[in-house]
Amino acid sequence: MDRSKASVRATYDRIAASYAAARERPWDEVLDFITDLPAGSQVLDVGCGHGRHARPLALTGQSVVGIDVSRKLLSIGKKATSSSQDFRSIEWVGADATALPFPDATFDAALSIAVLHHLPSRADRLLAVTEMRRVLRPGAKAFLSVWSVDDPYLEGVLGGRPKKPDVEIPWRLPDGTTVPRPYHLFKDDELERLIIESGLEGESFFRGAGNRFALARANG
Amino acid sequence: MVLSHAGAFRRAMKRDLMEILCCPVCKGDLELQVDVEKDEILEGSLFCKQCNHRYEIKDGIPDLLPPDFK
Repeated sequence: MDRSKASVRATYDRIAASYAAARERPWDEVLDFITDLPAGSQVLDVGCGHGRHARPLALTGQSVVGIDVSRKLLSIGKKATSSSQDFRSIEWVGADATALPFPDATFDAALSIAVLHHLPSRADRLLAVTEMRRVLRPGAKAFLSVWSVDDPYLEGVLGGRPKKPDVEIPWRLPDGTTVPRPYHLFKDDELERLIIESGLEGESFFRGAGNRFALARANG
Repeated sequence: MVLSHAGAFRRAMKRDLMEILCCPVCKGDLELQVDVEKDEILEGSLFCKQCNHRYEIKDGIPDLLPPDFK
């Protein structure tokens, strides 16, 4: 399979409708992060998709800018929220996590949930975290998650333990056809190293539901 | 900068978003062209003079993927 950012965009554009329908509920770990943010923060959601986390952010009084490569997911998110004043503070922008269209020190917080593992190379993944750091104001918090190679769920999907970190996980469309989604599964201290190399200061690293999480802070 | 005030950010965000967007490649300023505006900018473009590239705004969503996105 073609491992490129463009192929990830094409994949999510293709599965957008069924993906958005099946992935409505925000993650508890993200809600915990959101709860701790001061109201009125300007928050960047890198890889926001259809806004499963942009919506709870808006509801807790934050101004949200969501970026994603999938125009279809952005459109679904925007349409679903456009009629409600509660979600007026969400902006939807087509953008690449490795080339953010924002000046330095623009945001009070940033999240990137289940996104880095879709970037094809380590250089891309590092660039994405470095870009997050660049657009954060001094002291701003970042929250990231990636899929962990040791998630037991993977054994069922892949028919055994993953033999290599770069895998394809199928998405089933309503008509029964499957669409492969490219992933880089994270192991050991891979996420920690990306955070350190990006210049962010790692505050805590933890696991939950097959994912690895990092809470970090941008220094002045 | 207007955006340092969260209140202002929220009141007039649809225009203010355009204020904080920059070129994804050179990070330079973008020149906004509005073709259709109704509460928010629906159709238009953002032009980077330095890169000589025009980024489209369609259905209220600016597309700022770099020209060499692949």
